[in-house]
Amino acid sequence: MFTQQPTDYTAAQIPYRARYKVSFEGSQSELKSILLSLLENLEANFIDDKETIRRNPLENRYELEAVLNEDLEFSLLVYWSDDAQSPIEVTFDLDSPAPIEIQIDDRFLNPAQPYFPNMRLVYNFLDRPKVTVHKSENQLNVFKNQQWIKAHRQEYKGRWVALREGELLADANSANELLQKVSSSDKTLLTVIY
Amino acid sequence: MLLRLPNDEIFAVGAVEYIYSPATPKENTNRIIIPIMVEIDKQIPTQAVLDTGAPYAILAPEITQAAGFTTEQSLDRIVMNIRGMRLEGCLTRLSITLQATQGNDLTIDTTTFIPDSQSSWGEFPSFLGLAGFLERVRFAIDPNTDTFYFGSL
Repeated sequence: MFTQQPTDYTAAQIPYRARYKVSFEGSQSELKSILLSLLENLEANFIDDKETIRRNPLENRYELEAVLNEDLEFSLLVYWSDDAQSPIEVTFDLDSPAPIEIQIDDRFLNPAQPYFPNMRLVYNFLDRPKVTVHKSENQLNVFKNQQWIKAHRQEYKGRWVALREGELLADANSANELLQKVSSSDKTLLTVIY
Repeated sequence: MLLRLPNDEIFAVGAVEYIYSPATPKENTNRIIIPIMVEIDKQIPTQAVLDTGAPYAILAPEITQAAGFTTEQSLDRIVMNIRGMRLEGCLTRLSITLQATQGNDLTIDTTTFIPDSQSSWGEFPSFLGLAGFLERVRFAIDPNTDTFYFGSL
């Protein structure tokens, strides 16, 4: 399921990152050529001048690292599988050393789309995480579900349950089994009971 | 009634009655369990255990998958030792809402650990840790009424 090697939790630095992906229909050499043209157009500075594209044997992938300098600085890591299968899934990770509020599509996606027309944004976590207060529109549902759990906790101990408005929709041995019985929604509580 | 600071500023924006029960099948000690809403592409209401000893929020994999999580949304791959288990999983950022039955809800963008699979995580619930989550909100507990109070800093 996963190919990337895990890092040690204690060493983990949480990046401020935007991620783009593209499925490239072409050969490895065509991809490399287009990537280098894009980075030249972006006036990127390569981290390693001697070997701009390197193979990472631990991850079985090619990688390219660069720095994008305008008024803000981003480090860019591009990587893609080293196998010959097409399409080639290419990932672009843009990291910032500090949180920033920015229209990242203007800076990266728009200039990149002539080279990679089907590029898409996966996520933009460049800004500082927010905490927001908002009106609760689900209080009665939450209250009724809490009351149901208090009343039926012993009876359903060890079971996963789906509740809505204080009524049991389904129960199961596992979360997976429960999700096969009910469709998830913002009104349906899915939880294990202990 | 919600709490106030000495300068009359509101301490808590919301409150909810918590469930006071063990968090796992092998535990006898009661834990504080509160309703939350996990949001990625979809909003999924679930429950989570307050755990001030845990780093990050740790969410049950099936819950996050129901909310729309896919591994391409991962920020990093890490290994964590949790409850005697060595678990590999993803770090990602998502929104967790503390749901109120009095006052307002509070939504926190937070870095979250998602174990790779339900088979490795077992049937544990989700946990709300101190680092990255509880440290970013005010909270108080009234054991007399089983009430969890929460507010923004």
